[in-house]
Amino acid sequence: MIYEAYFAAFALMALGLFCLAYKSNLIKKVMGLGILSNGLHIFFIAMGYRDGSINPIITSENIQSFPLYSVDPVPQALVLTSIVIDVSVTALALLIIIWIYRRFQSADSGELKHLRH
Amino acid sequence: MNQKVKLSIGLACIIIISGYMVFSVTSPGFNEWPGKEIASFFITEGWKELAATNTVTTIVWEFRGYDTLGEETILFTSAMGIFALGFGLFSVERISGMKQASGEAQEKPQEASK
Amino acid sequence: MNVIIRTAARVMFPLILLYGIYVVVHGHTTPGGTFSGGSIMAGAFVLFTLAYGIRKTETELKESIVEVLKSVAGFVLIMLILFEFFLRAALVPTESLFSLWSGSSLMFFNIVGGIMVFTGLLMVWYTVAKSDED
Repeated sequence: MIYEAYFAAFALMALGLFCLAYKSNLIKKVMGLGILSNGLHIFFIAMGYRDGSINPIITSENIQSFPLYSVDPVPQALVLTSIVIDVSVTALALLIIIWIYRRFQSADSGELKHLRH
Repeated sequence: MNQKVKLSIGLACIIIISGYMVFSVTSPGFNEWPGKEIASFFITEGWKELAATNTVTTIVWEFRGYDTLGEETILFTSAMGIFALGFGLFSVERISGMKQASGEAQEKPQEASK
Repeated sequence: MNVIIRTAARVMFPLILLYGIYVVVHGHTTPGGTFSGGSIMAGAFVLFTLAYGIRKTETELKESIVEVLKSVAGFVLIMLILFEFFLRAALVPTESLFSLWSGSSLMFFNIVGGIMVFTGLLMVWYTVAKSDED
């Protein structure tokens, strides 16, 4: 149980959620989404910690004590997939923001609400 | 409601959510190791399936292979989408055409710098 | 760009590419795999483009070749994942547990997946860098 990693993860998630909800520029909202995702990944990996901490790779030295000391390998595999999805979503979101700016001459979510009709 | 009331309500919600998360993490029986069955299975029996030493790679490609198939599909689709939407996005004709279509007599469009 | 950046980029470009290939191929013994190795290989081409311009990078690796490679790698990867159970005995035989040839089909997965990530990111970079020429 490492408490510093948990507090850092919660601070990042709170900061990302605040930035996603309260900034009116569209690019800053995309940045807040990225910060929120990274805080969630840190929290998910920190849940697999164990006192002893060998990374889950078998070498010729630790083949005897491997089941007693290694960490949880399942969250690491899930977070690998999630990082790739985050990259793809950010790239497409930024491309759509460029199209919105070329069409409406404004990238502000408060003004875009009134331009709908 | 004006801006300050909205901001204070948002900060209060975030503080309540963060406080509940901190409280649930620091309670006594949160994440104990003798009670994890899936992790114990992958640690003791994971390397016997493909005789590889990296447990994480074995999980990603063999035990959870369909998740990796979906992830590669997403990567492929997003690369194709960016190529389809963004080809020729900053060219001179497209910029001047868009500025004339939106009815603004502007300065000269930005020259493509080489 | 001036002479210092051009010389440094020309020296570092094959070394970064080689390091990326190392991370991809050794994906079943060390931490790494498809995504981190593919990103490093694409980063070498980004460095070369920033130093020399997109015209010179096009002579190194054409865009049509990158398109064909991405489609072929995607098709081979899908076939390999769906029919891996029947092909497992016919692939690389497992010698010992700690050598490079362990893990019966993981090396093929890592190589094909690394090519797919590398060409996918390179297609995005070519679209962004060539978009002001039409």
